[in-house]
Amino acid sequence: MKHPMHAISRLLLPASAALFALAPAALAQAEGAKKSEEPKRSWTVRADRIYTATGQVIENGFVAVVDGRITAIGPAGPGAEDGLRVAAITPGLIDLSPAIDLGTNSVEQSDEVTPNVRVADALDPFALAFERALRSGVTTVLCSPPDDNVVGGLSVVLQTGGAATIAERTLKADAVLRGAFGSQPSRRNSPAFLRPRDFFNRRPTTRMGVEWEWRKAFYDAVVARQDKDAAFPGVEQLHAVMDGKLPLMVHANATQDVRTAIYLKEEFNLPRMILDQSSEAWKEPEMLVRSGAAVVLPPFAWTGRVGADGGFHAWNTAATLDELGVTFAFSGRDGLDVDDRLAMQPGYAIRGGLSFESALRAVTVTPAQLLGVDDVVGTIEVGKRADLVLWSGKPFDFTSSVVGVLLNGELVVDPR
Amino acid sequence: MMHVQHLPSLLSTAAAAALALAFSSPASAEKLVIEAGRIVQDSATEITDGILIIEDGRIVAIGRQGEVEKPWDAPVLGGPDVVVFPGFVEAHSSRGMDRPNENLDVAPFLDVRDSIDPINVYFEDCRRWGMTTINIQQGNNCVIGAQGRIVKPTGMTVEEMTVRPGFGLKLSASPKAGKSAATQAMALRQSFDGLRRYLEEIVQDARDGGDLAKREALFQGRDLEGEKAKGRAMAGSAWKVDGLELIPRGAIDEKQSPLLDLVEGRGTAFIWCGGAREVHVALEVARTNGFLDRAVLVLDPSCWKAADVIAESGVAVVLEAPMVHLERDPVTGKEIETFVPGVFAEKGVRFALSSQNSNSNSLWFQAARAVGLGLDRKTAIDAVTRVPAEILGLGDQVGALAPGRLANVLLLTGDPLANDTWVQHVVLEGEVVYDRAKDVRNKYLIEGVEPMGLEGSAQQGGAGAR
Amino acid sequence: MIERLLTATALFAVLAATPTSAATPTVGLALRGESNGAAGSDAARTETARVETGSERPVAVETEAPPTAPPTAARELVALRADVVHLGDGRSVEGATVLLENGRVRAVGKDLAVPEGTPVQVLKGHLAPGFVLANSYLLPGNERFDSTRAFLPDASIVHAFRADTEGLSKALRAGVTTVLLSPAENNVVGGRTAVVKTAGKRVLSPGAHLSVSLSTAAVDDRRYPTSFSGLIAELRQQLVAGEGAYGEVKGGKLPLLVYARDRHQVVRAVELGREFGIRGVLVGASLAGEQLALLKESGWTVVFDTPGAGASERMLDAMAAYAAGGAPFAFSYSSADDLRFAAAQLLRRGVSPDVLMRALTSGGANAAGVGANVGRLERGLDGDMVLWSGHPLELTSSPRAVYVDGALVHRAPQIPGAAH
Repeated sequence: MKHPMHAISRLLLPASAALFALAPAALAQAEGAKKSEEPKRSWTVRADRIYTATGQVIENGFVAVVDGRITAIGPAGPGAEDGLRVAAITPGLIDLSPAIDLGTNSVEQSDEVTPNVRVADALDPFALAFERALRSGVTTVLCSPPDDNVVGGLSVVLQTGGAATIAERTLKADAVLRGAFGSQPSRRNSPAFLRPRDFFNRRPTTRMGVEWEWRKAFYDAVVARQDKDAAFPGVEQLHAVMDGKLPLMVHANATQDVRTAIYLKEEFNLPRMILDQSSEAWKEPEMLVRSGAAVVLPPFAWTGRVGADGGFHAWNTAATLDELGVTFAFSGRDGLDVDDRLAMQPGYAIRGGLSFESALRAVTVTPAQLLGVDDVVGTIEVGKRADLVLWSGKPFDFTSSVVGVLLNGELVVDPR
Repeated sequence: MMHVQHLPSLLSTAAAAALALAFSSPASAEKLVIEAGRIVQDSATEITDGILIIEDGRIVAIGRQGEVEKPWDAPVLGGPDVVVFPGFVEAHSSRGMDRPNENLDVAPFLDVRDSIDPINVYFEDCRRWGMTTINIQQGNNCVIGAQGRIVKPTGMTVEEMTVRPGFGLKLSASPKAGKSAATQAMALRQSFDGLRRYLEEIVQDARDGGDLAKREALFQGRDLEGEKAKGRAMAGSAWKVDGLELIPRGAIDEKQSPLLDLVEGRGTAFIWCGGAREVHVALEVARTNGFLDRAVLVLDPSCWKAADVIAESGVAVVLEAPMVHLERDPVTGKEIETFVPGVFAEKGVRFALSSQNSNSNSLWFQAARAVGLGLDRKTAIDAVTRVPAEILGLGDQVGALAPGRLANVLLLTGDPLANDTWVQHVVLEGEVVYDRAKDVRNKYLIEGVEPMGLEGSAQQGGAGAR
Repeated sequence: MIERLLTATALFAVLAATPTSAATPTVGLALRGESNGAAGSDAARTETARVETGSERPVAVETEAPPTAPPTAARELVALRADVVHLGDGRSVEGATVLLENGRVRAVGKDLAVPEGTPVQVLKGHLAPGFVLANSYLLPGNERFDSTRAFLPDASIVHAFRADTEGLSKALRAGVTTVLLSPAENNVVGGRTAVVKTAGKRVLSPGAHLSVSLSTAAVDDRRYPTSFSGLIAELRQQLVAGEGAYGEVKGGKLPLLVYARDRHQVVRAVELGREFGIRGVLVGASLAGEQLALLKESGWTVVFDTPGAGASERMLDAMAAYAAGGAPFAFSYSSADDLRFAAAQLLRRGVSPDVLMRALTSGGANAAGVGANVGRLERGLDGDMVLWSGHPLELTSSPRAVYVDGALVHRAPQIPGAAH
């Protein structure tokens, strides 16, 4: 196995990349070439260790992939195909908070509460952020509207590469309802003293206002259960959240926002809540355990303070949540620096005292379960999609890195 | 917010100072024994079950348990679980100062001494992460900056911290704010042309029987005694002004003498290159003025594109973080990632890693990541120990553990590059200057436990903002 | 004369041997009756046969300069013979004759015999269909953009059409005879587009498409919607309800003109099209060449904005790849110079001149929904033609004369001492 030693180490290989720098002579061949480019989706990969994320570690084993699916795993078996042998294999990483969007064009701000709009309609499949995620091992993401709205809309589970349309990349549409607490949703608003110029001359302008919008939305939804005339756009989504059919994911970075979110969960009896970027969730251990809410941690920062509201993220935050039995996952938030990306987060948490096995789960099977896509991705098991990350050493060690990626069986980053 | 960050640093500085005092008690003032399950002397040499003896701030012996005689009267630090490692060496840093940049374009008469802040939290980080030798140079926003200084991260005054004063001069080949690349290059060249003209003028004046330089020096209150009263013919390999022996060295203008030092082959130039284009300017100025062999290029990650030219010139380089350079291909729009130390390693360029621009403020993390991204372990460790020590002219003093060297020793909880390794103790020139058990701010970072007396201060700060 | 014809024939043989013409090897024959045009091929054959039986050779009036004659009168026959005649489908014929009747094309052919007494003008240069641009930015901004509402399905840009504007006559002088007028991309739904001639005040189509914008200009902080999520949600709701113009769109009667500049906007248009079974043209998709497979499969036509001097290599490469990919495309009109410069840039990247000529004529007409009226020199279509001093895509060529509906509507002034 070779290290990605230098220059242009990780350009994505496949179809979409190569076609455009066409010399005139090549123009005529372009179409023919396109047709023959159906990627290879069957491989046998060997590794010193295979971490399946089911609790099992296979020493000196192999994973066989046929047509994009895992067909066999084992300690003995076929040899490595074309030298496809690495130090370790894990499932493809899953990022619940990748911050991949088109900025404010991905969140409908003409109203504070827009549960019925879909961020899937406002994404760029060609965004460099997808490729960045993919080449650093993230194969599945939950894309959400940015947090400029109180109730932002419906998030979508996507694979990070492959087809050229969002629809074809979708693993699960309308996977969660996304919204925000804290300072973000009211950030641009201000009261209208003069003639309003835009949508932002409005409430909420404070945390209190944000909380009020949340409670009003669910109160209206409760009323609309009895009174059909009181229905409003998005009421079905709110009902689905109340019925536990749709998880509610909220941005809640600082302690008081975590508390507010949990109060809302308890007041309206919302069964499935995911707290996003909750670096300070550990400050309310009892509430957190009582509520059963899951937590998505922000990317680690050496100075401790992270996120929109400067919540304090200690080295041992993940370890603390793990001890409490709280379900948690890590997130990458589209880190530009390689050291800030999702694949690095378990390493920081391990430094803070988290076990390797829990760290692995928090970027694979746990987020898959939270999204309800664990029947397809999240572990290395026969029948699952062949989303695999190939490592140069023990996964998450700072002295290791992602050297290869298979997405749906396609070798999008070649370790050789 | 400010005071939350600041006070703990004061506290822990005080704690460290107290600790240092404890260890400086008369009985054991000069001796210290360190025992370890593993001693990593340098990137190539390791001892298991080792012992290291320190006397008067220096290592006097090192070897396996039983092979080295243990003094009966020395305190013992460490144990079988400890891994001992040389203190990390930061080859170039512009942190730990009150504002790192000077307004003047050309200011070699200034000294970072006057800017270094001993209680800056940066030095606390240095202790926490085991960086024991730090070369502080002015920031990159200059044409010719102030004189730098090599320090150790402990002491309440700059003098206490100083390892080597007046070391290094910062030059920048990249445009200072407000300049274009062209005017920057011109200003850099003209500084040396100006030096030559100045020297020619004062020599001519002396030949004409004048003593302008001397009178100016006396007027400025400079002292012209001893060596300084004597003249000396100009040394150097690039160009010379004849008759410089007519001028007392002490009479040469303060603004010019650091440049003269460079041309005469004394002193080290740290030349900042913010882009590959500027590498040529830096090398040209160093070559034309005869200090190419004393030049160190401080490189932005994008400078990997000039690796061939740098390799050919033979200069050593300091690589600022991040180690992976990210750019967009202008034609395809695709993003390209390049692992910068890998490029330089392959070209055979001698390089030091630097934590500048990394919010980790640490070198162990840089070295670990360099290995993760494809560098071999030996090269990575050299790049944070041996190579920076050599760049700083301290190759026989720091950067490795051997008898006769300064006792800058780290006691680690595990392998120096492992995720879960922490610095347990830092021994600096024989004194224990860091003990993790007493690092209150580290406890805060690890566990969120706020130092006594500061609980809730963050919330108060928030409430203050109406 | 004979010598010239012989040379022309020889050249034509060479032309026929090139791959482009190899697909349709018998240009001359096709024009003599086996026409694939809209007019019945039987009628065409009869017509040609009748003409060919005409025994007497017509009197040729040779003119070196473009004709100064007034517009042809109604019912009158006139024949124009030029060094090269471009047919609008990418092909060209040397030394061919175009026979016009009542301002429409009656026949085109090499060695075409014309009825006795028909005046024949022998012209120096290339005779090509007038350019047809499937989008334009000709009307003033305030006529194209209604800032009060984002959705205006009932609006029609044809009401803003003023035949005597400077922009139209400039376009005419540049050889453009038909343009599409579109509402601005700031409105999500801007109303119906219109297709007009640059001379003669004729409106070819008062409602060629419904204009929809998926570009960033359509999402605005000051009114609903502010995001692509909201925009698509509203469009989807309107299309599901299917009232008025939306109903016509859903029923396939009214194609869409969609502003889609970035690649993700193109994807959004294609996905919306798939969902509702609708298609149309995509305006401004400058990187469409990077999405060739998707676009060919989906059946949308791309209308490129003409790349200016500052266009990136990537954009030009993508346009060239798209043009070479065989998918239909056309151009927007912003200025006369941009149009020719754009063509030159693409020629330089190896795009065939035939492909570009097709995009500027029949390609534009098809995209604008007026392919049965203009864009080709073929029996039954409007006599909209431009006489060029050389090949229309050569930057050194210039339009010498422009005909709309068979009438000479513009003649280039003679510049003393100039080569032409």
